[in-house]
Amino acid sequence: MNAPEAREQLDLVDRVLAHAERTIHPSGTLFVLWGVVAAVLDLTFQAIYWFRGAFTWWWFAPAVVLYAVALTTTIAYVNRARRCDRLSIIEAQYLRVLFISLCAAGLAVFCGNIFNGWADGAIWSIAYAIPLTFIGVQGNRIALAGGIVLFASILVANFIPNAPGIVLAIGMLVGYAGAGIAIEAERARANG
Amino acid sequence: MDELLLSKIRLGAIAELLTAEWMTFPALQKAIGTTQGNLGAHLGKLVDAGYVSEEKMFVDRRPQTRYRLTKKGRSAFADHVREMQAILRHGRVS
Repeated sequence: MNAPEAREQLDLVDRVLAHAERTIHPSGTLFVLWGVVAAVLDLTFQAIYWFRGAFTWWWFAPAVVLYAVALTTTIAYVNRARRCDRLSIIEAQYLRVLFISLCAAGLAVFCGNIFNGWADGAIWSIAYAIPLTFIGVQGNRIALAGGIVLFASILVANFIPNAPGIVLAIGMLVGYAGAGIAIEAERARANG
Repeated sequence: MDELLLSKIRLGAIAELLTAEWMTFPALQKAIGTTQGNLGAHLGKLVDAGYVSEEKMFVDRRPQTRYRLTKKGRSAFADHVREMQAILRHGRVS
């Protein structure tokens, strides 16, 4: 093999790598739905904390309905995603980070003797913030800002003992659902 | 010199799979721009060499074949690129 042939081979590799998709394309709609579900749950627990005597299980009805909507939408999204022709390495890594974060949060919530009180809400905020920040450090500034807002909401909630649920809910709405709206708006703008 | 990667189609397929967790056959065909039969034959050689793994599955009751780059394939690709760069630096190699 001579130098021009080697150059031709390297140029071919360069061309392929130059157009390779390396960004994550998260669903902003799912961020909005799950952000709202988490926020409504935080607000429900805050209401229970404030008005314990008046509590009935019906208070969970909005969260349950929203949870069902979010779950149905997620299943439809996953089914559509399964039909895709290519999964980039970075997207696969994001899905692993998301899966591990949600499993870790599920485990922590299950261990109620260790993580009690407001820990559940904070754990879910962390579980949402980690994958969001992961997308952020790959170059998505909206996701990075959302992740920072979520982490900040946990910090602030720690110093507001009477209303941590409100602070965590605001974090979820602004950091997670807000990031979802901004991501979808940016996508719509990019698609003209 | 890795003879298997001297083919533009095989090298192109490996390069496409480099940044992908997996790709389906139609996606590879579209990316490389070759015929189904030609790509199938080239991918068969890469699979036989252990450079690429092949998974057959059903998605929505339709058969789908996915291809992934193996560690062996990734390492062979990196060695090949290094050799090409060495040729560019030092000239002709037999």
